Amino acid sequence: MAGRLNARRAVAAAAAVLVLSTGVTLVVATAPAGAQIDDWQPCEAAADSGRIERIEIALVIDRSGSLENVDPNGTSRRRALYGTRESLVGLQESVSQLLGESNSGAGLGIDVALVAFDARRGAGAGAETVAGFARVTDEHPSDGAIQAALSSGGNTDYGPAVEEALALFEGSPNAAEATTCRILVMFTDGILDPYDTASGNRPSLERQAESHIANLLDDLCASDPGLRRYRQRLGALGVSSYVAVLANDDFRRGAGSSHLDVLAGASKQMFLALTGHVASPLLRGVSAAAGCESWSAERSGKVVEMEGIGELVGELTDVVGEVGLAVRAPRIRCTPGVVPEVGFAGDWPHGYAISDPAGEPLCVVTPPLDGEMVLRAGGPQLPGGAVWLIGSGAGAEESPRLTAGDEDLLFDVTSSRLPSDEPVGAVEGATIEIAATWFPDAELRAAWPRQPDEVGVVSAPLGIDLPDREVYWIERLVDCREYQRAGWEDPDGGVRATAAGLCAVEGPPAGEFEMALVPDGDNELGWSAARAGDAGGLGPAPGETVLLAPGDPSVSIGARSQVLALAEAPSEEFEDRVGYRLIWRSPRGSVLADRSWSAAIAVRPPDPDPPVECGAEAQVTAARQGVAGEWAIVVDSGCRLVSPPQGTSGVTVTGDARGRAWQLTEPPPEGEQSWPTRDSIALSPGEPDRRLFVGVSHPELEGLIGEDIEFTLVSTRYDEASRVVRQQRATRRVAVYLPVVRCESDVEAVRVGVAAPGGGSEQRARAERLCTVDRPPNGFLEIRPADAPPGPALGWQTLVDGDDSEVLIVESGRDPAVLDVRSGPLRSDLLGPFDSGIDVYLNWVSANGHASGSTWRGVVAVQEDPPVLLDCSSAPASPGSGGEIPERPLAFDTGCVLLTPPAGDVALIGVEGAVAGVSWRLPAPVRLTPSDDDRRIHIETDGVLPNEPLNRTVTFELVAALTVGDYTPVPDREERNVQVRFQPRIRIRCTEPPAILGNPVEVPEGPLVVDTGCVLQAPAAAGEVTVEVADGEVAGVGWVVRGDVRLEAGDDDVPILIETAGPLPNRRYDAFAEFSLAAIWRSPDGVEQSVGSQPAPGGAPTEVAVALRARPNSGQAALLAVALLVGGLLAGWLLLAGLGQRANRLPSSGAYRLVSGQATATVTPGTGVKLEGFDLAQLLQGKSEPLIRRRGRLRAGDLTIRVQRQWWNPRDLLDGGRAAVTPQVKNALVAAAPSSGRPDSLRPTLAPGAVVVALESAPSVSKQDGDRHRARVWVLIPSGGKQASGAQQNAERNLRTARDQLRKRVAPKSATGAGKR
Amino acid sequence: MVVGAAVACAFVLLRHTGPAANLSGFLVGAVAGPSLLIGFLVINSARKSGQKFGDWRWLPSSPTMAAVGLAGWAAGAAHVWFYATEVTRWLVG
Repeated sequence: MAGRLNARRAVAAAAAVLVLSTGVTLVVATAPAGAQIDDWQPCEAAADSGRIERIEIALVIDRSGSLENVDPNGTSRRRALYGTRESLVGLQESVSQLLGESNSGAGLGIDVALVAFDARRGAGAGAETVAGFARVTDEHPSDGAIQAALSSGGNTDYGPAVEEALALFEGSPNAAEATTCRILVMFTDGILDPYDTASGNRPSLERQAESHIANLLDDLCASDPGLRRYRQRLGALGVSSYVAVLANDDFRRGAGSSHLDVLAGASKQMFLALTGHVASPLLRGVSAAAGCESWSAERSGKVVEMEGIGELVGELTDVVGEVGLAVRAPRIRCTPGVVPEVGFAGDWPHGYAISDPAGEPLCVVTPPLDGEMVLRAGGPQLPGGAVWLIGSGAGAEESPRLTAGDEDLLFDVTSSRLPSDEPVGAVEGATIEIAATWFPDAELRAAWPRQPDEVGVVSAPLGIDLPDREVYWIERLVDCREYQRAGWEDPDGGVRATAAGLCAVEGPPAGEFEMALVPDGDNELGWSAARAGDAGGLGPAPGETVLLAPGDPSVSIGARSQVLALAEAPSEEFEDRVGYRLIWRSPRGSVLADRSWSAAIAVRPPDPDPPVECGAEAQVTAARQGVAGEWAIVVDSGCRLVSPPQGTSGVTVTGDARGRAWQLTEPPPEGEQSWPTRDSIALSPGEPDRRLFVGVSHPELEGLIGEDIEFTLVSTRYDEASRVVRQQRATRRVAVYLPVVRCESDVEAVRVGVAAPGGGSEQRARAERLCTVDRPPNGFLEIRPADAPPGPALGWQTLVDGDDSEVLIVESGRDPAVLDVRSGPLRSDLLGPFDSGIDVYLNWVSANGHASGSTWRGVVAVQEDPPVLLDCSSAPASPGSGGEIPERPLAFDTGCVLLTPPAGDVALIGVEGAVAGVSWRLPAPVRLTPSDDDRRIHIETDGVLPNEPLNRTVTFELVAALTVGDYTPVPDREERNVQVRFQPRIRIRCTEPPAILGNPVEVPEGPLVVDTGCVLQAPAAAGEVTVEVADGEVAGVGWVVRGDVRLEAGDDDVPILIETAGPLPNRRYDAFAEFSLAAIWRSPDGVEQSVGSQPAPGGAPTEVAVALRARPNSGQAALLAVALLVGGLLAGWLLLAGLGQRANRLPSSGAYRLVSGQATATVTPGTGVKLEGFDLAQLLQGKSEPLIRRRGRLRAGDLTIRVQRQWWNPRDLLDGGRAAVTPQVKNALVAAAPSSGRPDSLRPTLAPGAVVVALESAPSVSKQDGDRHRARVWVLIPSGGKQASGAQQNAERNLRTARDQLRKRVAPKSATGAGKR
Repeated sequence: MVVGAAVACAFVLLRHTGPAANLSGFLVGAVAGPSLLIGFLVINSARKSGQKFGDWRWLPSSPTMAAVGLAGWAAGAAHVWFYATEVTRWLVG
């Protein structure tokens, strides 16, 4: 047996090796062109810790009921698990053997556990460990454990399966071992379906299933310690996951229904989170579950899609092969984040790179367990095209080879490939490229024939300090001129010579640029560095350096001399020299480059003073409408024309970008619509300086405002010979924002206060938004009503923020303002509507002291003012908030208050509006006098609302009227909106528990009828209500409502009976059947709505206990009963026959003897058979023949007597059976008397005196009348003599009987013969 | 008396339901009862053939016991019907 096992292991090991050596090759060979080879390997986490010493594999097998359809009796799964067990045993032996050969370990331990999972409602956890972790052998997992994992039943739930596997991993003694590779292999045949809802429409269960799945996905990638955290725990253990899916069409396509979408989507999201296998065709387009984004992007497993269950064997074998490949493969481990220091030895550019001796090795390479690997190292690209290489220290140019058993190989950056024999010029002339940040990666790759692709694509950052010497690529970053011109500037009171754009410097790729001007031998003016772009000059103080970091925009660096006295300023141009220096420091502080330049600067004497000096900003000083209707603005340019020391200064103005004509002008006098303009102004020596005003005109004011306008002053200085000495252009910008006042010609005013007819009114009229005022550009705007308005003298006042004000002042910088006005108290004769005129005076005073004013005239229409009788400031009470339609009128507090009148009386005269077609009304009339208190107003509907859903905003309007004597103002109306929301009244009431009607104990032949315990209520107001079964079934047969239940308003409640849609299958039932009812309400206008979908509001669907026995089959039962009865009768019959057989009722051979004698028998018709020559007395005294009793027969000579039972007579049978005496003599006609015995089981049938007569020559004996035959007579007599006399009497009687018998047997033919004669 | 006890037992079992009770009633009433009756009749017949046999005056032994046995057989037949009915239920469900 052991030998056979070893042989099997050897075969398995050979198979494993074959898989390892050929499987990958096949994959590579058969992969379509362009297909991406999956280079993911399991056990990465353990391999990164060193050599893998142990593998723990948890086989998690689906055993849901659906597998019975695809794999009846688990044949394929059993074969797959047997094959996996053998392959793992073979892998363990082969790898252990390799480890032993390489002396690198004591062997490889593979521990296997087997978990089976399904989902059963109410049956607790759906996963079971049928075999825990133990070393894989031919006996583990055992055949029994495998069989236990195949018993199909239940549904599919992945959560318990993963939880069970996690418990195994976490409970393993090797849970803390980093060199343990943990692999989860899960097989399933279908989508996540914990409640078996994928196969049918079961809405109530679907909701439970989707809720269950949502919780599962919450647990999947959660980090909350209170949740299961499947993926986090798997990641902490470094578990590699294989998911083998027998995908059906629903799984691939997703769906068919929204619920199937949820199931299939959740399944794929779980697979994606477990494996991160985004390239799997099954998971294409699947988005990660919430919180799983990072896990789903991290590759930790593989999804294997199978077309049929038959592929399971091969797929699991492939998994074992991949595990073996991972164990045997070489490993390259590089320490991420390690940045070795690299410097140069020797003269640049012929130096060699030297790694930091204190640094860790860049990479460590562990050889494979078998075969040979070839290493290839690649390094970063240096400026100038030279290539760095990383190497093992010896023979870096070669490609090292590692075989099984070699020591680990350490890699580091140890040398460069910079050739020392190349000329310097070659490097200098090369194109030098530097990355923005130069931390290139090095890579190390290994080729191992057993793997489809190179392994160990590794990179680690290298930090490289450039050599501390002059570098050439700095020329590309710094562009300095050899010669520049400088002019005189006087930005801060001192005259300086300034040269801009000496050097243009880009930001460094790394590190920092530090640049400054340094003294040069010819530097007479004391130049200092300066950066361009600062306002007012070149900015930095003397001696300041310019710093640039990577990413900074390029800057232009100039130079500025020390302050020079004008007296020392030379009149002719001269040259000076300036030196500058650039230092480039690396991020670590090393000086990467340090270079100095020298340039010549040509210094030119300053220009003459400009003819125009500009100071303050330009601003608008006036805006006027000219005689021709055009609008013009006058702008103070903020500049002045300076009187020249000699010659002439002149100035002109040019137009702006829009082509508007600008002219030089003067500030316009107050109230004037025209003013002088000119094209140019000139000053001679001695004339005072002159402020410059410019003007521009446009046909419309809007064309001038709302924008910044530019104009340019062109000034020129001429010498005495009218030659241009200096020309200057000063572009000025002015913001033209004139104050704009827009007033409405006709506005409506309302009355404020309570109208009290008869005098003493406190009413005022108030008009809002009379004028809209934009803020002025400068200064302020004064607005006030004119003193003498036309119409009723109401004494209008301006209002600012609601407060009284005589004058509205709008200052520059304020927001636009609105002019409101309010009148004084209204006179009693102004109760009705009337018009009032108003004049508004506008006056703008600019900051320059210029003012302009105008008057605007308008009309204010004062409306009749209804008195305020209703106060609806409080929120109304909610008349309905989702409850049922009330069965009484709807009443509620409107939140409004009827105010007590100051005089007269006030009455609430009505409420207008309706809700759902029912009008509002006042419960009672309300009337208040000045002595009453305010009264809250309640309203109600004029009847019951229709029983139909109601969710709308309804409007009602309260109307109150004031009566003061004969005066009745306009009624006060208040309109309010309230939200009314009601649901129809529920029409299903359940008060009794459901029960099956008729209390059947057997499955009825018709439908099963159930009294639901619920009653359907008639609609309260309108419409018609019916009831139907919303959901539920029993044994696949749905429920229907028994009868046509249809109720209208006023009908009595009807109990709801339901019945199955058809007869139930004839079998035994012992379960609960669910059902739920729904009432369908149809309004008179045809609107249909389902109401009360739950029989008990808020409760679960009702269920009824269905406990029924199967109906018997009467025909079969009758046949079986008859068979059993006949069997019983037969058994009794046989018992009786057995008893009778044991008692043969023959006389004892020792107690009797048989005497015989000869006679002549004459057959005579009528008298029978006559014996002659025979004496009975002599016969009894004669010789007796020996009597032999054997085998139920009595023999004496040639006479044989049998006593046979007569079984056909039941009565006799019960009494022991009547016996028939059957004598036999060869060739004789025999008769015996007695011929039979009474039913008696014990007493012999033949008594003393029994006679047997035999006519010889029978059957050829002649029966003709008168024929004579020879006869023999036997008589049975006791052996003793006491009974001889009795025997003789019996013999005589029996002899007659025997002769009668003979006569009966021969008489018919004798009679026939006589007749013939 | 034994036959009477068996028949009484069969009738008592009629009040109980279930396949086991019915099978027991069938065996007692329709198998054991007749068997005992036969035994009784055989022995009684043998005794009748003797000279000292005296039957009961108002209650002849053989017809009486035959009637009792027939009643027991009827009870057994009822049992076997019920038993067969249960068996067909079992076969269906």
